[in-house]
Amino acid sequence: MDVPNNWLQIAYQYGVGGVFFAVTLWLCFYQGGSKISNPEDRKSLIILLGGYFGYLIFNLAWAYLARF
Amino acid sequence: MGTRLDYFIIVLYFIFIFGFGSMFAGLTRNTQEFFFAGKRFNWWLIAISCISVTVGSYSFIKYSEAGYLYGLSSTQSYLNDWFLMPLFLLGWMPIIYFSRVTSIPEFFERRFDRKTRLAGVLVLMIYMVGYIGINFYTLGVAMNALLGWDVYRSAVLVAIVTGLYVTFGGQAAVIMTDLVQGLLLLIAGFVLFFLGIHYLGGFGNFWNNLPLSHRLLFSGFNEPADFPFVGIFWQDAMANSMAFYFMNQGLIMRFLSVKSVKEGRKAGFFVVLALMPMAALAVANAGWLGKAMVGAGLLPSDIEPKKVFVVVSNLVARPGVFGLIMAALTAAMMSTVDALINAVSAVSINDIYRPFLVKNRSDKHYLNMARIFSIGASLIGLVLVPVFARFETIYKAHATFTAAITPPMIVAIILGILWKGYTPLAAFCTLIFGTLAMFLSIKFPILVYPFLHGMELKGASFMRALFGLVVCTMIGILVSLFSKPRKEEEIKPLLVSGIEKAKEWFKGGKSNDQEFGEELLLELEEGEKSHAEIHPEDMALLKALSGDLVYIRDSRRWVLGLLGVHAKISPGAEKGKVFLSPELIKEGQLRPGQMVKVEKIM
Repeated sequence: MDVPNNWLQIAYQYGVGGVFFAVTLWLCFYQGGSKISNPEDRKSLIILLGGYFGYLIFNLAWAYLARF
Repeated sequence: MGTRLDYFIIVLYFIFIFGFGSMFAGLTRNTQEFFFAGKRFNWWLIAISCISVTVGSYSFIKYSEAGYLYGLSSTQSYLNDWFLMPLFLLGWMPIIYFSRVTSIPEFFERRFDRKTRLAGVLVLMIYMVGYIGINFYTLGVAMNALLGWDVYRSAVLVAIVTGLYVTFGGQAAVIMTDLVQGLLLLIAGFVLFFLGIHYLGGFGNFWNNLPLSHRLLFSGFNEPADFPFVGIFWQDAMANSMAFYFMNQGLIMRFLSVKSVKEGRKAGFFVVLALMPMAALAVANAGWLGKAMVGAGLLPSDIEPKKVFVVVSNLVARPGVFGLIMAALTAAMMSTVDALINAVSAVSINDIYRPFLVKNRSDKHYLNMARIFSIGASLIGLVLVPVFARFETIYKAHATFTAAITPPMIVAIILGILWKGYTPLAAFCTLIFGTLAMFLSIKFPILVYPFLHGMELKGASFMRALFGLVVCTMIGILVSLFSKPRKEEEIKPLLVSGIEKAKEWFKGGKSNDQEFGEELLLELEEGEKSHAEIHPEDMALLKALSGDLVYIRDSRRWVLGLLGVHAKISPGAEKGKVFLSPELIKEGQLRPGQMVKVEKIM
C-alpha cells in the first residue's frame, strides 16, 4: 500500500494558486493601482511574497515531518 | 448534559453580550455610523471581528467531523486564502474604500448600470439571507445535541439577542461584540485542545495515536469523494473564500469601518497569517482528539463522526468549561449572523429603499428604517430554518448553497475592476446566465464532468465552483467582445488602474502617502475653521502638508480609538495644540481641553 504524501497537492495548490497570486499581484502594480515607489505598497509587496513562500515552506516542512 | 454552572455561564454570557452590544448605541447617530461605524476602527479590532465572521456556529460541528474523518487536512479551507490577498488588499479594498462604495450592488450600478445593480441585489440578498438561516439552523442543531434544547426555540432565542443589539448598536456594536466573541471562540477552542491533550496523557500520545494520513495537512488529491483536496481547493479557496473577501457584505463593511486603507491591509495580513491558522485549530481539534482517543482505546471506534464535537467536549470538559464551550459556539453563531443582519439592512436601505422606494428623506428616517430592516432580516432568517432542516447534512446544505450562488458575482467583480473593456451587458449576462448555469449544473451534474480532475461524479458538488468560474468568465469575455464598454473616464475610480484617482476623489486633493511621520499627542482646543489647525512644526513631525487628511482621536487607551474624527489640516498658531471646529469636536465625541492623538492618514 502506498504511503500517503502531500507532494502533488502542494505542487497543485502553490502552482495553480500561485499563478492566480502572481498574475493578480502583477496586474495591481502593472495597472498602476499600487506603485513600487510608494513605501506602503512596497511593504505590502514584501509581506505578500513573504506570506506566499512562508506558507509554502511551512507546508513542505509539515509534509516531510508528519512522517515522524 | 451540562451542570447548573454551565447553564449559568451561558445565560450570563447572553446577558453580557446584549448589554455590551447595546452600549454602542451612542456611537450610532446616522446611517453612516450605523453601517460603517464612522470609519474609526483600528486594524486589530477589525482583524479579530473578521475571524468571528468567518467562524460560524456550523464551523465547530463541520470541521470537527472533517477532523475526525480526515485529520489535520480539515484545516485546508482555513489555510488557503493567501492567493487572494494581492487582489483583495491592493485592488478591491482600496477601490471600495476610496470610492465610498457602500455595497456591492452600488458598485455594480456605478461600474456598469442600474439593471446590473438590481441583478446584484437579487443574488446578494439570496446569499446573505440564506446564510443567516443556515447559521440559525446549525446553532439550533448544536444546542439540541449538546443541551437537548429544541432546534427552533434555540434559533429564536439567539435571533432575539442578536437582532436587538444590532438594531440598537449598529456596526459599532457588531464589531465590538465580535471582538469579544472572536476571542472567546479562539480561547474555548484552545482550552478544549489543551484539556484533550491532557486527557490523552500528553502531546506524544495524541500524535502517536493519529494515523499518518491524519497527520497530513492535505487530503488525497482527488479522493475521498467527500473531501478531495482538489475539490476543497476550488470550492473553498477559489470560490467560497473569494466570495467571503469580495462579496460578503458583512466583511466588506468591516473593511469600510477601518480608519485608513493602511489599517485595512494590516488587518487583512493578520487575519490570514495569524488568526486563520488559530481558528483552524480551534474549530477542528475536537475531531483530531476524537480520532486519537479511538486509537488509544478511550473511545469506541463506531463513534458517529458528526457527533464527535459533542462527544469530545463532554468527555474532557469540566463543569463550567462545558458552559464556556457552549458560549463559544453561540458566540461563533451570533458574531457571523450579526454582521449579516447589519449587512442585509445596509443593502435594503442603500440599494432598495433609498434609491427606489422612498427617496430624499432625512437621514434619521433612513436610520429608523435600517433598524426595522435589521429586525426583518432576523425574522426572515428564522423562517428559513425549516427549509435548511430538509437537507441531508449541514455541510451539504452549506456547500450546495454557497457554491451555487457565488461564482457569477465573483467573476463580475473581478473582471469589473481589472478590465475596463468589461461591458455592462456582459456583467448583467454574467450574473443572470451564470446563476442559471450554476442551477443547471445542480440539476445535471454531468455538466461538471470536464472539471472533475479524475474524481467520481459524486465530487461534482465540489467542482461546480470551477465550472461556474470558467463558464461565467467565458460569458463575460464573449459578451464584452460584442457589446459596448463604458467610457474609461466615467468608471476610472472603480478600476485597479484608477486607484490613484479614487484616492484623490476621497481626499478632495492629491494624495500624500509617500511618507508617514509619528503619531502626536496634542491638546485639543476649540477653533473656528472647518478643518483642523496644527502648528507647522507638528505638521513636519507628522510629515503632513496643508490639506492632508488626519485622524484625531481620544488618547485614552480604553476608548480603543473609537472616539475620533477625520479632518483636513492647515497650519495653526500654537505648538502642541490642535484646533477643531465645534462641529468636528461633536462628530468625534471629543472634549476641548483633552489630550488627543493625531496621525496622518493621507
